[in-house]
Amino acid sequence: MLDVLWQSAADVISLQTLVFLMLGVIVGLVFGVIPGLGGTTALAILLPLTFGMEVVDALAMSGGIMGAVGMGGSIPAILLNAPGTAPNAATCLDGYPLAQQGRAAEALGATATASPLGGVIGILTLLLVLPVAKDFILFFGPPEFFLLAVFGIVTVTLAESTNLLRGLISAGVGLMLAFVGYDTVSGGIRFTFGSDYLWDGIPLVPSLMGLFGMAEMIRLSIKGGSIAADVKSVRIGGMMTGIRATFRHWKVVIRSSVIGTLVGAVPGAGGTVATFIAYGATKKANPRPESFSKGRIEGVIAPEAANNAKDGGALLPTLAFGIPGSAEMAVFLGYLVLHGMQPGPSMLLDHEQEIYSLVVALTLSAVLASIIGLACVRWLAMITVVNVQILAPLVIVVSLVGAYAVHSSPGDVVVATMLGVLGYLMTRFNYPRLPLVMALILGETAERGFKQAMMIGQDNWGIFLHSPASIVMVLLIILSLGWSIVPYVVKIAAGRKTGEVT
Amino acid sequence: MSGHDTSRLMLRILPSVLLLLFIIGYIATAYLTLDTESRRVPLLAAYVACLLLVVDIVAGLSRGRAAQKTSKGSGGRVRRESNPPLAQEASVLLSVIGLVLGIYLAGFYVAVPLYLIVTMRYFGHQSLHFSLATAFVASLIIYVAFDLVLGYRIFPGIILS
Repeated sequence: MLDVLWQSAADVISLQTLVFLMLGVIVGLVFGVIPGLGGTTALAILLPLTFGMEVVDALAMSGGIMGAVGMGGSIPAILLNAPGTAPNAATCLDGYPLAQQGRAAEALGATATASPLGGVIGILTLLLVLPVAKDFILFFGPPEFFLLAVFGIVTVTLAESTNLLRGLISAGVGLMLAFVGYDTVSGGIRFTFGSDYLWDGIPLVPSLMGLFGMAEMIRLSIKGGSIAADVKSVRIGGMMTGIRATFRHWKVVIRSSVIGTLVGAVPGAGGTVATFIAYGATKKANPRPESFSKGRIEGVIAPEAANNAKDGGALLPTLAFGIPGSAEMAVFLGYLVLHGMQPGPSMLLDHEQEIYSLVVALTLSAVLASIIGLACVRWLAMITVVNVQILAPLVIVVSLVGAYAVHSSPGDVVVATMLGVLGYLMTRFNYPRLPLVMALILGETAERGFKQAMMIGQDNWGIFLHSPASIVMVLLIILSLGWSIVPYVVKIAAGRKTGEVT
Repeated sequence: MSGHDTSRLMLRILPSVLLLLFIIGYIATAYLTLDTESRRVPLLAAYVACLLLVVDIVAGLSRGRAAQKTSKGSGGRVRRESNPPLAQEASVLLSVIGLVLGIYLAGFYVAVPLYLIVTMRYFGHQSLHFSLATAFVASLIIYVAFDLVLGYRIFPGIILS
């Protein structure tokens, strides 16, 4: 493993790859700063541009984005009380009060230190678990993969959906879309209506660009205005105070990083859950919890460390099982697929060096993001006052050119646009998008696993309970559904009794 | 229930109804065009989605009626969600669809500058000079980045190809 790691590090620190890494870091910072965009949109928009790149360069760029976006998002969270990304919301709680006290630079210094430290701890955890994961994966057969795909869809749907019913409907629609095209098991062509373009199914890359990238741009265009009305001035002095404070509170960093890594590994939990849990744990462990939300530096360190650590955790189910744990990971899967790396059990066996390259890129990007972020914080904050009617059309245009460039197919442009409009309508009418994406990605895996399992078991459903792994997953699926559906039904029934409208 | 209330109720459940119609069409297509083995799993997903949608529509109707009763009881002082104006939504969505149509017919180098000029001028209220300059620079960047540097042949449109 160490040999592969050294070789991967050597690949990443080559001049060309470093350039792409830096580009990813800068894009991640910019997209992180602009509230509402974030890593998912950045990854979705840049995805097709990596088509002609070397695998290592593409992974370095995507790692740069993922490692930098959290740092970018903390800047408006601290300066403007407007989190750049959802996980940065926890940073607002103490970051903005610190800024109001004139200690914005201290908060930014703490963020810039906690982020890479958290990222490194998350990556180290991933490195420790990956070699073990390889052997573990070999225990998985068709029934286990079917159940794992179902588990991934169910947990993400239940975790991401404020409206549970509509989340499940989105997942169902995603599954229906996943079955368009060539059936790899029976050999039939389904729902193509005579179109050759749809033989390979609805393409993933333009779909992701549309559902996340274009949908966000459409939403911003409709919303209008600018993200923020004003930018507070930032004093550069005082940052060293924040940096020293982070090392002084090393227990907070380690605790929050562990929380971030563990929560990140759970499909559907996501960065927001990780940062708020880390914040809550830090507050609870402090002898003066009432002083939080009033400008405690630990209240900035904890969520930022967790936010970057979660990337290491989230990569584990994504790489090992092809189960993306978040929207960002779902789009990242597109990068892997675009470069011929099929996520799943073979990934760790056939592309070990590429994975370690990604790991190195993520570590470097967290450090670079901190350095660049601190150097450019005043200019980055200015992006939030740009008129979105200038920003959004430009990004839409670049997205569509990128969508076309993947396979030089106008059909991809149409798919990206249709899914973009669909993505906007879904957010407009409260249908969550992530369950649809998860089902679109995992639908084929689920169907293939199901049909192969039924062939092996000769149409006996007991095949799904024949191994300890499958029994555990069935129990997890039932528990996940019960955990979410029972309180939901109880809440509806209680609402009916009191006559409340829910 | 007044006509206004009925139309509000219908609008509330309209997305779910449209989605249900899509799924019914999907099911019908599966039965008409696919063999038993090929349609087994897609139909399972479609039936489950269908059932959930029916539940959603029924729940939406009962929530709507209860909301109307509450609204009448409180003298109409019920907080309504703020949505963007329909005209604004429609114009942005139509502009994006128009862009794609323009790309298909006339290619990127014609459709993109036109789209940028129109959106910046009429949605962004920017000056004509700024809109023209932005459109020109954007087109130039696309040409340099994609055509020259990356070597992609940008789609010229079916009219010009």
